[in-house]
Amino acid sequence: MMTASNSWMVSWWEGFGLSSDVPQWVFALLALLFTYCFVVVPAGAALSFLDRKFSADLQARVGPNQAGPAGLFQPIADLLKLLQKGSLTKRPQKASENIWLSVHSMALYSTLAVMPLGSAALLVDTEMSAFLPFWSALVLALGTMLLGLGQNSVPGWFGGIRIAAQTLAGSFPALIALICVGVHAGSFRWSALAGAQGFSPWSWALFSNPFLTIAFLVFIMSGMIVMASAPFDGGLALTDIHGGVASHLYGRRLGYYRFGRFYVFFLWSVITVVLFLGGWALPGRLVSLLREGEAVRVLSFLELSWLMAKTFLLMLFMIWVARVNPRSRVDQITDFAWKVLSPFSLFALVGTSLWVGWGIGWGAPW
Amino acid sequence: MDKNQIVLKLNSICSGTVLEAGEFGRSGVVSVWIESKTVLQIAECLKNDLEFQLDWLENLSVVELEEVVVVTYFLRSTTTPETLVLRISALPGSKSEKIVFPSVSSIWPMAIPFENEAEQLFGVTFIGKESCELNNKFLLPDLSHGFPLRKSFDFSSTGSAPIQNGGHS
Amino acid sequence: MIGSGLNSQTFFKTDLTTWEIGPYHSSLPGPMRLKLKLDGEIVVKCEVETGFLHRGLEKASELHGWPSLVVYADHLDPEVAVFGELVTCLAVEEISGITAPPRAQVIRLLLAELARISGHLAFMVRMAKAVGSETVTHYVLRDREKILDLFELVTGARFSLNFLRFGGVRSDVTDGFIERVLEVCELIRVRMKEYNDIFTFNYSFLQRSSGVAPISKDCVRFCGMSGPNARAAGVAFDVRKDAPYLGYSNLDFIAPLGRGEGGVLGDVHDRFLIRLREINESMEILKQVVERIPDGPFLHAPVGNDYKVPAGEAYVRIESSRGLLGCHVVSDGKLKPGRVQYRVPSLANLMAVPLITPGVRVEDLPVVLASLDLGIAEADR
Repeated sequence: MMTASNSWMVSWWEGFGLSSDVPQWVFALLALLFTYCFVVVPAGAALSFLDRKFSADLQARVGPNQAGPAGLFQPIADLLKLLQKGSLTKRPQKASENIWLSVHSMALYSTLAVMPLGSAALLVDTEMSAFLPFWSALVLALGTMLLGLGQNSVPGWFGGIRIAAQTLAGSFPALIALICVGVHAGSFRWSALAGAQGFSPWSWALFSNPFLTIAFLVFIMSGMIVMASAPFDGGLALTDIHGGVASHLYGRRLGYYRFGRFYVFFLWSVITVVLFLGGWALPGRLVSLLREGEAVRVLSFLELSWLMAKTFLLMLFMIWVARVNPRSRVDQITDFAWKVLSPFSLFALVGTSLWVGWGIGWGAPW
Repeated sequence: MDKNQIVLKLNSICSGTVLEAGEFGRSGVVSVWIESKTVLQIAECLKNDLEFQLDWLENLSVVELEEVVVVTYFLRSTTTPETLVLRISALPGSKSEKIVFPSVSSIWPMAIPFENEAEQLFGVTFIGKESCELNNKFLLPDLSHGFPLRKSFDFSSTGSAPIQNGGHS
Repeated sequence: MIGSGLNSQTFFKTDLTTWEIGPYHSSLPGPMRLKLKLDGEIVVKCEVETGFLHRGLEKASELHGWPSLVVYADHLDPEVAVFGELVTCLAVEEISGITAPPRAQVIRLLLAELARISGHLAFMVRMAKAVGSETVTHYVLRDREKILDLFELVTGARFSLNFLRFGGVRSDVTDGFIERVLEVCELIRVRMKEYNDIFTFNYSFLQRSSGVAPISKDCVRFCGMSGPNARAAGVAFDVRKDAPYLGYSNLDFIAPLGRGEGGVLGDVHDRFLIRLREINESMEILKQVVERIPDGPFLHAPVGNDYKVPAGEAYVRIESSRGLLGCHVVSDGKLKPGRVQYRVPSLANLMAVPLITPGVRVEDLPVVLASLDLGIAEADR
């Protein structure tokens, strides 16, 4: 991977303004740190604020308004609070928690490299790229399950088993939906998947054929199931198993765990936007203008901003769905994933294949 | 059903069981005071006899009237508008002595939580109580000195006396 | 080949798990304990233990003078305090042989029906919370505030009203109260339509509530259940209809019955819908009543600290928002009550929990408990 990566690293070299005799691992590390510190963490803070305010408006209440203007510093206050909360008694760490923490960290940081953030900001752009974020979702689910099972309590078991069952059920239709897009774009490289779409919504994969619309809906819903986000969060339910998996977490660990959940939500939304909603594509004229002016950094920044804007809208949409709907039972969720989403995803796959194979098109640019 | 008819009917089941029959307060509902030993037979008749069909024990209230502990059954029929008040009583020997009555829970299962309560608060043991998965048997801390709802109950023995008369004399 | 006698249930049979929930847990309506035997996530056996909230209310009532009785009655069920006050006052009045003046009766009826609406809205809140619908929780709480505002307008308090007196009410209603009641009725009518769209007929909610933990008529008779739970199971008994008090017989309203819209008669969905319909009926009653509040005194005679009740006893029953609420008062002619005993609907409802929960999934347990509208405060007293 590293040897073949010289081509995509050029843009990073230029971006950081470093000479080409610096070792490659330094670049890789810098790129990861950059992504983590300047994209993922600020996005987490912004989304937690937007979520609170948006939900408050939706639920006829005020929301945060004390920390800073309009409660803008609430995420920082939250972070500081969680950081200063240590354990009340120095209890010995359980081995299962250490396993969970290491698994969790792997999930959190390994897929940063795969995250598509712009035409120049692609660290790993291989034929497998689009599948790699699933690793993050599945590993986080595994870690969450272990966390639940390691609690040695009935709520923990239930939480862990529920998470495992629904992740398994949700992954299948999600993967099939992903294959639909790959068939449509002819590749699973981020560059190819994004390159098959343009700035105009009519050139997005979502609208380029009816089966991909189905695949999009399947992908969103199965994503919510895999991530165990709000209407499908039986494993984390507060009512019957008082938080289930997360019930014994507090302080820094809780912050860490929550950030992991946010990261997967963010990752899933970013790849949904890249796969179906036009990715970072800006108007063609603007792109060529910037490329002619050799303004790669400006282009990257604009692409990233455009991608983030779409991602946040998508995330707010999912939060809206979560706020309106009551929680579904786990057996209903798995039933829905296996009996409804899976057949639809397979139908979409067959349909997309035929559509692409017969060369039907509405003038989409593949 | 008329008061005299009820007395006749009940006496025909267990002769001499009815000690007193009258109206309950100002309500006009018939109130029958019976021998506590016969309460099970009477209850069975009241529930199953076609003239009564008193299948709903609406309330079971225990009262201490002039040192006599009285159990009052407020009965109602779910099929007819019939209602009846049935009473049994006994005189406890001392303030911490338990009183024993037959349990009517085999006939009216809804009596169980009421009987559980009376056991702790009044020291009335109901013999032959059915088992139930609703458990309200632990209302009180361990009191080794009488039962709180009896008039003879001494609060000073619990270590914390309640405020009497709300602070104003 | 697996033997023909084996189905998946027996083939995948697992050991039973024991789990105790409580006394404090977010899925419980109050301090109580559930002792569960679980097969996987399915409840096999459920034992209920209560008594954690025993405050000695009945004993406390005996230790103080007659006027204090109303204050204690407030705390019988703090969520819907009016019913405790009402049943106590009616019982004491029956012993004394006095009746409240017509104006006081109507004010009482208004407060009782407002309390019923408030109690049912709180029920909706708990249901929404149990199925994880936070938005509806906030919406309905916002509307219940309007009812509490009305209580505040009349009595000066929002929860523990201490407003009813033996032979009437503490003070007259203020100017503009009737208009405010009608406004609130109209507001709730409009809002209920919105809640039906967002919650009652939400697909996910229907899935969670339909066919879950039905109560049969036999179960109602076995436990002596009453109120909305019994009516949801098709047992038509409403004290307001069958033994009218406060002039309910002059009013035009119906006591709705369960229709089995969720597929099974008396399931969680029926129990939910019946409360929504009762809110509508209560608003109808309010509309009829506010137009004919008679003039006249609002209190038979002032109630002082030396208030005495003649020797005698009375047992009075009313329909509270949870079911049949009875009060047995015995007076020995002294300054303090001889005995005050409450017959609360929640004990019978609690008794039904072990009967209807086997077969229910753990996730539905909070929903089933919420749908029974259990009042632990009144069950333990």
